[in-house]
Amino acid sequence: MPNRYSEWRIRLVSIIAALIVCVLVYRIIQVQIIRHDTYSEMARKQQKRKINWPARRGSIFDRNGYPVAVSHNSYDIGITPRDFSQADEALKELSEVSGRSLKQLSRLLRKDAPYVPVVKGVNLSVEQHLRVSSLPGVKLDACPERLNPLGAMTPGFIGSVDHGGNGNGGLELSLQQYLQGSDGWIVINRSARDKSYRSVNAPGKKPVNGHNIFLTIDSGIQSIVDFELEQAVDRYGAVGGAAIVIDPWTGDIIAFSEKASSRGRGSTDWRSSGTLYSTSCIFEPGSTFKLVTDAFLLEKGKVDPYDVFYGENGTAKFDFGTFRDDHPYEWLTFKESFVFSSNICTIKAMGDTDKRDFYSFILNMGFGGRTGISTPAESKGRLRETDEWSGRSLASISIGQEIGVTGLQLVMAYCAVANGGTLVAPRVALEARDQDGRTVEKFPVIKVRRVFSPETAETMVDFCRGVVREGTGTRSAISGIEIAGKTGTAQKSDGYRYIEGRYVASFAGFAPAGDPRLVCLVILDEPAYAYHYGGTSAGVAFRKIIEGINMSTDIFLDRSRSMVAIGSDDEERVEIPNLLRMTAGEAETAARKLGFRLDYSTSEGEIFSQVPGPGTLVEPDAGIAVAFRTSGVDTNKKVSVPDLRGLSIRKARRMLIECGLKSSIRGYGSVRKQTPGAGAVVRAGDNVVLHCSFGSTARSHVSVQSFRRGSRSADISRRRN
Amino acid sequence: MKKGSKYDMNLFFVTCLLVALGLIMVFSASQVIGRERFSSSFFFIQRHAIRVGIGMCCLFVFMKIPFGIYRKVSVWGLGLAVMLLVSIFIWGHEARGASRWLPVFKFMLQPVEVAKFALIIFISAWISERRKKIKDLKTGYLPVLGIVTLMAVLVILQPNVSNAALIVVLSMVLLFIGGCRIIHLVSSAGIMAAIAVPVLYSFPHVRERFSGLLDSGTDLQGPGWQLNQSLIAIGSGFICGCGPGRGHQKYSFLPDAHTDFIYSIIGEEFGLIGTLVVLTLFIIIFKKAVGTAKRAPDTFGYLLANGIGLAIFSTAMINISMTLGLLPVVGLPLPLVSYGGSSLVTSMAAIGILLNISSRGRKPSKRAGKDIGRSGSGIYARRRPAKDTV
Repeated sequence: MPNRYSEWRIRLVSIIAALIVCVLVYRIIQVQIIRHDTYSEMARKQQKRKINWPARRGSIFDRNGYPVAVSHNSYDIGITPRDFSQADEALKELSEVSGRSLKQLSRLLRKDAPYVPVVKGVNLSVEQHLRVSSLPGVKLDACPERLNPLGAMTPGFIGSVDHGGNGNGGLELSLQQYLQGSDGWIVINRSARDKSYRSVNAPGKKPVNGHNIFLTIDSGIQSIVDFELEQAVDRYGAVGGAAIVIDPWTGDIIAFSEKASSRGRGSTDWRSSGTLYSTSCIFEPGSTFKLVTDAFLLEKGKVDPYDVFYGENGTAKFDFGTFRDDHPYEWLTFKESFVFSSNICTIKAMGDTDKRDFYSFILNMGFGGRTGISTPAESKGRLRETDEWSGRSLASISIGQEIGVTGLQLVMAYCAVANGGTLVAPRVALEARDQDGRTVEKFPVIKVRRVFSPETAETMVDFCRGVVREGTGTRSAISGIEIAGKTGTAQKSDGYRYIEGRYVASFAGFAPAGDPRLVCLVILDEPAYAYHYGGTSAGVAFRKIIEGINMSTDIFLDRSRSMVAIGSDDEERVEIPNLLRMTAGEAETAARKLGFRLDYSTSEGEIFSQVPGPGTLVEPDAGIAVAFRTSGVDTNKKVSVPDLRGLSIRKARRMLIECGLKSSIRGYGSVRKQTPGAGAVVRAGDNVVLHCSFGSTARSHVSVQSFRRGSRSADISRRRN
Repeated sequence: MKKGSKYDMNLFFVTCLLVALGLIMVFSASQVIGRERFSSSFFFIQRHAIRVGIGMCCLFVFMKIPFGIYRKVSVWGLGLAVMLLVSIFIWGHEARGASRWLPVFKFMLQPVEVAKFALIIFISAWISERRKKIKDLKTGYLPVLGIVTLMAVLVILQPNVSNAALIVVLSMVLLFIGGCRIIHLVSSAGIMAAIAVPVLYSFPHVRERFSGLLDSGTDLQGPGWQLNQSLIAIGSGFICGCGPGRGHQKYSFLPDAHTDFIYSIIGEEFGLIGTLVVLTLFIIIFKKAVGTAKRAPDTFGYLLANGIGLAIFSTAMINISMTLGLLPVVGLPLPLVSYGGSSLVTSMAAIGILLNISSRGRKPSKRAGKDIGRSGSGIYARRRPAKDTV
């Protein structure tokens, strides 16, 4: 029986309860209001996950719209036995798509494992994908694949795609910025068991799929070239062979093929995967290079086609050494020396030519510099400075020795002859289109510079015509189409001396001779001795390629098939003078005389580098950025930042070093933007940030570098287009 | 129950509100675990709804049974509770290292929930029958202390330390309200604590839970994981919460989200408003219980009403304190809200008893409480005038 104290007892209990409630209310407010941000952040960190929403990589098509490389998803199928519904229908469905028997599947399901892989790399139709993915306990992992529906072209040329969906070599890498698109993201909710749940209004950004690229390649012609080259490599016992077919007017690469011998022979040039022989490996061109020599002599007016030279019956002793012809000749005109490929007459025609003139001409023809083709690891070739030339070098180089060229450099020189004297940059891509088919970017034809007059070009065409009519390339003649070209047979060297019995046979030519539509170069590396002459092996392969193209297309008949014709606006342009090693005063005078502006930050010493390079055709009022060689950095000195846009990282850094500035690089490729901007006055030793075209955030245009002396002009001409 | 009925309608509505909130929250919190473990989001809510139905039936049944009957059967009830507790050691269902459940037909009964209320009824009856004798140590206090200790030991052996502690504390408070000498209570509490603390601390899971409480906020992956996840759930709710069903802590982050930690999910999905409303509802229940006790016709009713109110309120406060990181993690559900049949049904039955007491109490007056129990022995002797009864 509660006594009169009961009331205070229950009151005391109530007060204690009230105190407990007060503590709880305070704690609730502390947790939910005061420390809300902390707990919210902890919740967000553990519950949300930002995942990448990959963009679909763009496809690569040939010029006619046939797919060359397309992305495709295959699937790895696995099951979680615990969750898998072992109903007959589910098992049958899984068996149908995986190709596993019901018995095999039942055995897999008995495994005591959280995940059991069933099959890898299965192609699923949309319906199959929907059906299988809806089965409980079945997991589908998409594995992106890159397919080549037209069959494997030269692997290193197209390149491949790695597991991350990024280009790995070839055009896949160089056109990555167009093909890759930009990935999106999405925030998903995750459970503590790492399961993902996507809510309806999950924040995210949709991916922008990559653009489709339309190449200049014609897959029909490509297949002809592939086939004929393979035949030629096998037939002539070569280690490997390369063939390039180009539209001389636009520089469009119509076909690009390389084949290694299937017999297992091969030097490292052909064995290393991903390396393109035609762009990355250099060889001595031999007689095919005489086209450059003869064009130089004709352009400079040093000889007339009908000047006569004595062939010395095959062996001639000069002051600088003895030279031989394969076939002894007596008196030959200058044209005949080309037609019959006489080394002695060519050397004699060179006479007392200034080696620096010849060197400059070779540079202008695109040798010793990269062509700017969109394939990685392009070689510049090997052309020594004139200071390093020996007494014999001028003669040797004039007949294609002591010089290393790439196949692409050589064929571009022949393009210049075929199109009337203009050097064009090779082009592999016509345009980029978005997924809706709208053109995003057209890749312009880049006319680098005029390298010789149309008259010289016409004479050289006549010379090349003679080679096929009556000279060393008669086996390349085709009835119905007049061929012009030049054979080349060059002994291979190991870097120190020539190797007996190892040759590179080549034939470069174009058809039809009167109105060239295609230029083709065939190179056969180390053919059997019986076929080591360019005319007997490479020339024959050339003929077969042209015959094949003639039979399967009407390109040699239909004028409209020719791409963009070269305009004649080169006349409006002015050639950049050579300002190297000049002082500031001298350079200012020389530049002003031709109407150029000179951009430089310091003016001490000699000009160390200039952009654009000497010989580049540009607008008359264009600026020339020059850097002077200075020594030491005075940090109190104020310097103005040079304009580095369009330069390669190496060139830009070199210019900055010359100006006494430091640099930091963002991305890779050519410089797109710089901070501080050009002309800003900063303290010596300050840092300049170079934002490059690849790997930086802003979208940049495809990096088509022109020939060595023309990188600036290429950019200028592209901007105009 | 129609309006103006003799039963405490407010208590009934508050109970219904909590049960309804429980239905919503159990559905919200159990969807993920139901889908993961039983391939059905409705697995738990279906069972919970059935138990709510059973609980509601019990509520109405116990509401109609005159509460004086319990005094007569209190010993039998206690005996049954002890038998149930003992039978756990024979037929008990073990889960997470403890045997707390007894399979009865298709349900798993948690005898401690029954024992809790059986003990409350027994102590209330014991005190009401002995009146002032309860102050006597030998005849009044020690026997009941012995029974409480026996029950507590039986519960500890399951092992279920939290419920054992709750039983002891509840009994002590009820004995305190019933008029026991404070010296008896304090000394026995001291002795029990001196014995129990070292013994309890020898249980590894008790040690772990205390270290979890101390480590909370520092080591997310350690023993404080559950506590931290509870705080994250409540803390991220802010004022209005993220909305019903939209919480994320139930995605396997917060273990037992639908049972012991349902208050955390309420905090996450309904924010400060939700947590304070639930707290307020339990305060109302306690207040109504105390009010009912004051109006109770006799000592037994007075003590029983207080005991039931205290049992529900203290269980709720311990559960809420646990979710807020003020107490170590214990296996006590939130009464009337959490998923768990035994707790729900016994709590609703207890509310039924409370409603019955309320129906038999006198009109509230200024003297209410002061003259409680003065009416004598007959529980029907102090029935309210006829106009106040149905």
